[in-house]
Amino acid sequence: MSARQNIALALGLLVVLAAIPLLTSSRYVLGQFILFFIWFGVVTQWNLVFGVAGIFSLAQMMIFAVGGYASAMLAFHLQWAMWLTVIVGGCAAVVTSTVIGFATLRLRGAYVALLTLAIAAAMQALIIADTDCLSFETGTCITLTGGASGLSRFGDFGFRELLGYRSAVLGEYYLGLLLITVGSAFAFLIINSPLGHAFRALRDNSACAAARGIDRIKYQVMVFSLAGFFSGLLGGFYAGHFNAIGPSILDFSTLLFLLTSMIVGGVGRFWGPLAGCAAMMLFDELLMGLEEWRAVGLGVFTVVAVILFPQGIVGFLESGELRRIGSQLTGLSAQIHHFVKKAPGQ
Amino acid sequence: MNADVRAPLLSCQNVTKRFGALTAVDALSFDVGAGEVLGIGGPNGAGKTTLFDVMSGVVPASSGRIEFLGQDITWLPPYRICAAGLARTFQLNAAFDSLTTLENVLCSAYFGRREVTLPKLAYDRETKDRVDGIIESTGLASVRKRRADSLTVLQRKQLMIACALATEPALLLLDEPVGGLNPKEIDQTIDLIQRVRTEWSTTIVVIEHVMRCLVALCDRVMIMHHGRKIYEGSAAGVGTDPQVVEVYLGQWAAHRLQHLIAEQQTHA
Ligand SMILES: Nc1ncnc2c1ncn2[C@@H]1O[C@H](COP(=O)(O)OP(=O)(O)O)[C@@H](O)[C@H]1O
Ligand SMILES: [Mg+2]
Repeated sequence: MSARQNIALALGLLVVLAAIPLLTSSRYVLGQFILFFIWFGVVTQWNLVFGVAGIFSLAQMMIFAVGGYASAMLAFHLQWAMWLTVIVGGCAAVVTSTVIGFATLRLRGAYVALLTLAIAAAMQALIIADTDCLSFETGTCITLTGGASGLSRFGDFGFRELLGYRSAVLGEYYLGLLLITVGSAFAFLIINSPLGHAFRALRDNSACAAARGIDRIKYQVMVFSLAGFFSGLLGGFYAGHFNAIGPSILDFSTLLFLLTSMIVGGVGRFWGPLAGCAAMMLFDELLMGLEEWRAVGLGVFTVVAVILFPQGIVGFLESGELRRIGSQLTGLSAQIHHFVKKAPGQ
Repeated sequence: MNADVRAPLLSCQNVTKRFGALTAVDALSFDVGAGEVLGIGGPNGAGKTTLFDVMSGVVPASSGRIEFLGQDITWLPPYRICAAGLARTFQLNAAFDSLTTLENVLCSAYFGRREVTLPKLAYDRETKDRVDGIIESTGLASVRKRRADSLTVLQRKQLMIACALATEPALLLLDEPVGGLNPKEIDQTIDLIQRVRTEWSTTIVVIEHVMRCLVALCDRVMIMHHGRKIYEGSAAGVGTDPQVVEVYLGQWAAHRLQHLIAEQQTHA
């Protein structure tokens, strides 16, 4: 697709998403869209590291959680405005992500996955183990991170006062839409710039890239830093939207769900995260009534999707495969048409 | 021929590379003068590719010293050596497979010419124009928008030369540029390398098994065996050197080589 086609598609989608609240006022539906924005936004940034640069980092939810926790803790303990804490959360996430980038430099492939997973697990364990009381307000123990039960009721973006209780969700809906729009534009610019080509060159052939002037250490750290900011912002947005955050955000199941979304959508492709997150959340929604079969259904869906589209949904759409099937179908319908016309007694 | 021997462009002194107990390059010393084309031959496993790996910084040397344009580059990382003006191609047609031909050459031109502190958001006009010229003259114009992994063997070889040229090297190292090509494609590639020499005035070191290619291109030939230099001199002398004939060429190929050289001399 040319840059112009990409932009046209993005604008079209943006208009549709902006119009959703006009079609439904269901708080549930809008809430699910907000959750979709959050997950899609995180996967878009993760895709820069995992897909575009080809570094198998599983730290993205941990980076998201750093953003979320940083803003929640500042709002909870210091009563900072949520708007401000979200920005601080984004910056904290950049620092964390950069450090993780440095930590992965000497490792390759699956070892990067193991290390980053271990870091995320360590963060979750540390939070759960945090039981030292900072203060005893109204007789309850208040810890720095909230421990196993997390932090809650620390404030929101102020949409409730601004728009009233019923319409507050609208404010958050459009704030989420703004975040993913800017985050996606950011990712698009990177993927299609010299920097994105350097990331992909290192992924495709790192020795050759080095011999063409591309410094692996510098760009590997850089892709982590870049992918940190919007992940952290979205973490803060998550905390503000739910007015709560807890260690379950670091559960392996959430990470797996997002990783699967990226793979189903198409790893390393700009539209992959959107297609993948939409498909996975939609399917998850359809399986809602199935209770314990839901996880199984999602697993089966993943397996089928990966077998049918090894390059992801977007990879499949971009390949000539679709056109080939299309022309076969047209040919078939022409034959049927021909056959029906010729059939006697019609 | 037109070798300028006043100041060597590249000077290797006692360059050694060990892989455990194996010494792939063994205290090798040689110079390359500006403007000359040096050919390197020798049996498989002689250490030719390893020599290129060490020169280009892809693999660090075990000991020795490499000087390029008066600068000690022995311990520089590969991206610095590239920016300093030494570019190479790879024996295994290396390219950035998921990028298009154009993107391959663009990012080589952008990052390889000089060190980039912070990349811009888009390629500048000058880089784009330069890349267009390189794609045109390396014969890749018809596959500009094709992904590198969909190119033919010849096109991938051309792409590698284009990417190396895009970094504007003073010295170009070619590792078996005609390996795996058919006779017609070999002629095309020899022609391309000769144009590189004249149009870009690039100094070239070329590893090749195809003697016809070495004879056609090189001012001087060096033959390696077990990491050491066993011959250095004119291409004409290769076929009559008893040691080279014994360990590398064999009687039959040596005869053919003499024949080729005689043929070339009558042409000239
Ligand atoms: N990375 C490596 N590790 C261990 N041995 C190597 C490595 N690279 C090359 N070698 C060995 O070094 C020797 C020289 O190889 P090479 O330089 O590829 O030879 P040539 O290019 O002349 O055919 C061979 O015996 C090869 O097996
Ligand atoms: Mg070799």
